[in-house]
Amino acid sequence: MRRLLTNAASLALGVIVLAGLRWTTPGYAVLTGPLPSDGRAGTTVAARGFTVRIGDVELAKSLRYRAFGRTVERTSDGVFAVAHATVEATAQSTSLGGIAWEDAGGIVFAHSRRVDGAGALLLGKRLQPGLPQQGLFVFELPRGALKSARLLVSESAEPRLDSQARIRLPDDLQGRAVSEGLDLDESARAR
Amino acid sequence: MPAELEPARPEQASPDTEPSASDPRHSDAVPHSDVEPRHRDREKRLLRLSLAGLLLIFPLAFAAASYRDVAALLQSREIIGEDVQSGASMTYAGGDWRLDGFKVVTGGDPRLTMPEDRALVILRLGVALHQDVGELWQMCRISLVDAEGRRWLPLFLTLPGEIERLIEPGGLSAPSCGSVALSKPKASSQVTIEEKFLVPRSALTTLIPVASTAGARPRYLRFERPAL
Repeated sequence: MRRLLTNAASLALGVIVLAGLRWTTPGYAVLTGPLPSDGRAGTTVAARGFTVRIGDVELAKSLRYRAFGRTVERTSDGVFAVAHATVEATAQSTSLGGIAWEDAGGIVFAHSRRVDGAGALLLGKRLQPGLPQQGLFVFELPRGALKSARLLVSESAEPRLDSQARIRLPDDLQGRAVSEGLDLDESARAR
Repeated sequence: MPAELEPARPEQASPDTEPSASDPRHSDAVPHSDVEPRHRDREKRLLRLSLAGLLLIFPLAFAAASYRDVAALLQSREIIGEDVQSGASMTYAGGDWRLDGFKVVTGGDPRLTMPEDRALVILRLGVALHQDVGELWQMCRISLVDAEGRRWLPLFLTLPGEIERLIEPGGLSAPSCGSVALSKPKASSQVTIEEKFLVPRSALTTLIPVASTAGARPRYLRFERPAL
């Protein structure tokens, strides 16, 4: 009887330990997810194959730029966030396919496709080692997404087991003035 | 295998292994000591043999399971470099490879002026083919590598004919390595490969052209180039 009880107890213990291990093991998506390099705006953040430095972030209700020989204007019910960035390849020629904005709640907004064709965009631009490039990241966001946000930057759009720069943006973004209109070409030239 | 691991119980009856009263392990009242010393030794030997077998089996199983991955890794990496002397050629991936041109464009004509920190490099390789190389030349990779190990990959760039002539008077532009491979050149023909690179001027002094193809990696070619 005693032996039976001991056996049952060890079996139960085994089940508990295994269940604990199973519950606390991160999922496959987490295990094979991006490898973060954290930093903050104003400093140079180094990822595996590139470095990125975020400067000023401008907010605007509408954007203007020249593309294919004509002026394009884009307006938004939310807000356009335009981040000035300097990026450089460090290991070999590459491009940044993943540029996203993550708000305080973890919601991720992709780089805006509504401003395709603007010359100053860095999304997908060819980067060469030793030749830093200055340009813009553009996001279209609801006003609520400005608070304690981070930028996520990586070579592939969905990095798996590859590094991702995560750059903390200034906390005062939500309180900043939103300009009525911003010219992307001028803004890029001015810095 | 399983037969060897069977417990030795069936042999219990053999007379020479009968438990003796002098054996302390059997003289007491414990009813479970039914495994005789000889069988116990045999069991121990088998256990050691099995454990030693694991040392062999684990690496073998790993090798069998990852063979394809290792092969793919070797096919993607440039590991064994072979130096090609300036002006000489070397046999690689079904042909004789030679550096035919390493032209640096920084200015001259106003239409060719580059910003001060960068230069355009136009690289030409000539290959005399021994065999059909369509398969061998898949994932052909031509790049420039500097002393720090930084690597510049070719530009996807087609220059206007006028600019081409400014850079190489009388010279016609040649296709990239990838296009040459896709055109499946035949044995005993001569092909020219041209690639263009955008590099910082500060790296120009140590840049070396390297070439490799999936069919010949992990071997790759390093070309010595004439001084600038």
